[in-house]
Amino acid sequence: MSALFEQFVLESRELLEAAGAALLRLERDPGDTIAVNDLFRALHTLKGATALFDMAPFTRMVHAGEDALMAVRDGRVAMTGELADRLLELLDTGAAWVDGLELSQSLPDDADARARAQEAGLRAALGGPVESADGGTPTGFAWVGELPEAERAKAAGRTVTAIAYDPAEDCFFAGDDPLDLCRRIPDLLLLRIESARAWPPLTNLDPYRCTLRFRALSGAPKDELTRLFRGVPDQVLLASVAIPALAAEPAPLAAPDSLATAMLREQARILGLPGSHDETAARRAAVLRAVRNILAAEGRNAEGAALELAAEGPTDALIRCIETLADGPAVVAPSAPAVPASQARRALRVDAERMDRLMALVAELVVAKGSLPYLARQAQEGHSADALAQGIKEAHGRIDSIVGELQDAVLRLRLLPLSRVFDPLTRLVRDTARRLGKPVELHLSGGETEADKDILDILGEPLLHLVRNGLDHGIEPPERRRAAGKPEVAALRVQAFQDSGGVVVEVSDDGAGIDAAAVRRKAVATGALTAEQAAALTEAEALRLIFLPGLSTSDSVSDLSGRGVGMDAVRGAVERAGGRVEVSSTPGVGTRFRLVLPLTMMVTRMVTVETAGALYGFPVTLVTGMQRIPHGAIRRMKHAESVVVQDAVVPLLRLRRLLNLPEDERERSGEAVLLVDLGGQPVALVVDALQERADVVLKPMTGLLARLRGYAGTAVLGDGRLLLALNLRELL
Amino acid sequence: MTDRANPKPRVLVVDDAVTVRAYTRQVLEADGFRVDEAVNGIDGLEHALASTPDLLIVDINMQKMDGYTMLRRLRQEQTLRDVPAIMISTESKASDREKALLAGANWYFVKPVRPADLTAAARLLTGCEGRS
Amino acid sequence: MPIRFEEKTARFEGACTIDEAIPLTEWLCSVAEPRLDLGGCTALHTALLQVLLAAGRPVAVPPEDTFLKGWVMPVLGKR
Repeated sequence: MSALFEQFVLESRELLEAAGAALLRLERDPGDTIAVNDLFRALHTLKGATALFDMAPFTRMVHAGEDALMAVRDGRVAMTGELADRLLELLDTGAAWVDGLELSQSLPDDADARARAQEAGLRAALGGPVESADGGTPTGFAWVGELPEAERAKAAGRTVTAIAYDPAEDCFFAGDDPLDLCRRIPDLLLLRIESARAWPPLTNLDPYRCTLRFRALSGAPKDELTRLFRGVPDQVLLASVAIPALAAEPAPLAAPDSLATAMLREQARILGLPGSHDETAARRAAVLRAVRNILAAEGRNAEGAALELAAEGPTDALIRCIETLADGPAVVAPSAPAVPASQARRALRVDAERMDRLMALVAELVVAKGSLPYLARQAQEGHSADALAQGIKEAHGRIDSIVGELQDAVLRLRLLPLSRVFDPLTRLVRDTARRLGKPVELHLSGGETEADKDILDILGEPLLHLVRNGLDHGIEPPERRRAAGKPEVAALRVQAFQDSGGVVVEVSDDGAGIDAAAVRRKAVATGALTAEQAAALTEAEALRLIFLPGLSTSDSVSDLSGRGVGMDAVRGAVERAGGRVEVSSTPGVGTRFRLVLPLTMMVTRMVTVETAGALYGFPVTLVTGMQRIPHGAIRRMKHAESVVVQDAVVPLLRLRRLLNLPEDERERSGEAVLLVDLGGQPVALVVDALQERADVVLKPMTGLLARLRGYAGTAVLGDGRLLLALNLRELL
Repeated sequence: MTDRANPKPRVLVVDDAVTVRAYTRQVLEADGFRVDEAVNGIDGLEHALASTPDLLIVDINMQKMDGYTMLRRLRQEQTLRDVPAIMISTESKASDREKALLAGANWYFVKPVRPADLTAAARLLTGCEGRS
Repeated sequence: MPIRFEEKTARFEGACTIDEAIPLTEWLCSVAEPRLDLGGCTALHTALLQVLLAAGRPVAVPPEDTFLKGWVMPVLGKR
């Protein structure tokens, strides 16, 4: 006997004893929650231990006990004497098996049948069919467990949907063709056709009476099958069941490659998980280290550089980088047949064409460059200024047109199809809908629409959020939809298209809609508005209140959409990209969010300063330094002030004066000064306070503001504050 | 990363089942890892803080402090926030996996884990080049 | 006509519907050694399947349709 097995025998005895003691306490006092928990934990640990060895009946039996206790713990059933009897019996069986295991290291031959009997007994004691947890075999589906291995093979190791379809005898008269229905089962893994009774002689057969029974396994989710069988809900039973892997299956060593790929993908997914700032920061650190290690283990250190680069950037970029790493080592031989078509296409098809064009333009540029040395020689040799000017003009013209095309080509290189952000939605919707128990059909369209890579990076999270939000708060539970006369399967639409100069992404659901009155009330309750202000809003304006921080219309806080932090984040992200969000909703009919984004965006890095309560920005490229200067260091000559910086006398200007703002009367020992380079002319600018740098998307001033001199544009910062970008040269 | 000076990566196994710990130790030590054990979340936190392992393998359902809580607490520690972590549980539901990842795990295994999978995962997450 | 009844052979062609159930039953009762040719059958109504199962006659030419071949033929073969 191996040391490990010995250990198991010892531990399971202890656990069974602990469970027995807890059970007796529980029987004396059915309200003893500590006893329930002790019992539950003992069984849970025992289950884990049995799972280490090949003793499925033992694991299954303990699992059934655990399920029963879960029901007790959750208050779904009471601890009755009968249930206690059953559980004690289960413990006794377990103890007997452990004794046998110590001797023969195997379970008795009848273990499977005994386990089943225990399961059945427990179920009966719980008073009827219990909604089975994943892993157990739900009532009415015993046949799944009894399938011969050959038939189970296709489904082995998967969680599948089991279908028991007993058509009504008169179903043909209703126009049903059960066999045809079975033909339409997606991802059909098994179909058994059985006769309910022995066949009569052909002459006595009533061909219009259906006596066939169908048993099937499908890889499709239960919801999808519920939809397929929606015409015969009374004749069909559906259940998700986990089919154990075949014992005879040659245990394939998980190829390290595939595990690495799966792990990398998971790391990318972890980065996208919601959480507080600290949580996401910690996850990011752990993910980065994990990915670095995976690359090292795979001997792919060379790709670490790409990772480190992406690690400096926003989360979306990092996610995409890790996904790319998961797709496989960077160098893929073009002839490698193993690369699935879709991946190969993503990496090569579009980009290769555009890359070719780029290469062609670079070649043209090289040729155009060749004319410059020739012109230089001409100048040296003293050719006439006119002839030289002509030559330079021609060269300039050629280079100019190539550079223009290059710019365009580079821009196109950055255009990616929106399917990149749409693709993850399918899985998200499926998983979330299942978790929430809301059947939902996702309609995606316009995935081929292209947008700048940066726009996609920004779009990802708001889109996920809107979709989650729609599932969580928008779409009603099936009962409510039924009551409202709506189709039980909700529709969630995500579509994209190009509008004049921008990309539009719409997320709409046919759910309950947003109650504008409730939003108003909430806004008043949170103090965002007074009752009068709220009442004065139009419906459309009231709906927009959901974009305010901290306003969520749903009172229930779910783990999906968080606590109303979402909508203002959505708005923030979209506005930072220079876009806008619109919302429209009709109570009872549905809600539509519309994100309008520019095709491309120019990100400008700004140094931000605070002055007289407002934020101003200067392009980082103009700022040469920042420092605090004591009052004593400022020299005054009449009205002009100056300061010595790095041995040079630099004029000192005050931003408040430049902007005609009142003087800063506050007591202070020195001034916060920004050193700005105005085309070779250094200037020291006094501001109220220096702030951090920020990457912003500048929007030009519109309307009356456009005529104001000195302003380069506005931008919305990450925290929602408005930044005014200044054009200092114009202010002087 | 493979560390020449200290070639054996250290794994901290946190599980309240002694058999599981013994099993994991056996599997990992045979593959060249150094294994440390802790019997519950609190014990695990203490061990982790004291020794800063290269990898954590954490059970979920444990007395005193469960795996989720332990991992969350650990992720708040500057020295431990980036230590790769694998969670292992008997629960096979997608929501369990999600909960583990939310708590800070990098990977999730459903018990029982095949030795080859466990060592492969440990190698990847500690950055040891595989033998194959 | 989805099922062509010849002297000894019934040829199933295309989608065979419930309308064929009675004719098929009668033909099977009247022919001593019926030959069943399902080669061209693309869909078989449940009622027809029942008739074939009750008759328990061997299928001479199995259907080419994947679904019928994969899931229905094994049942027909058992009888």
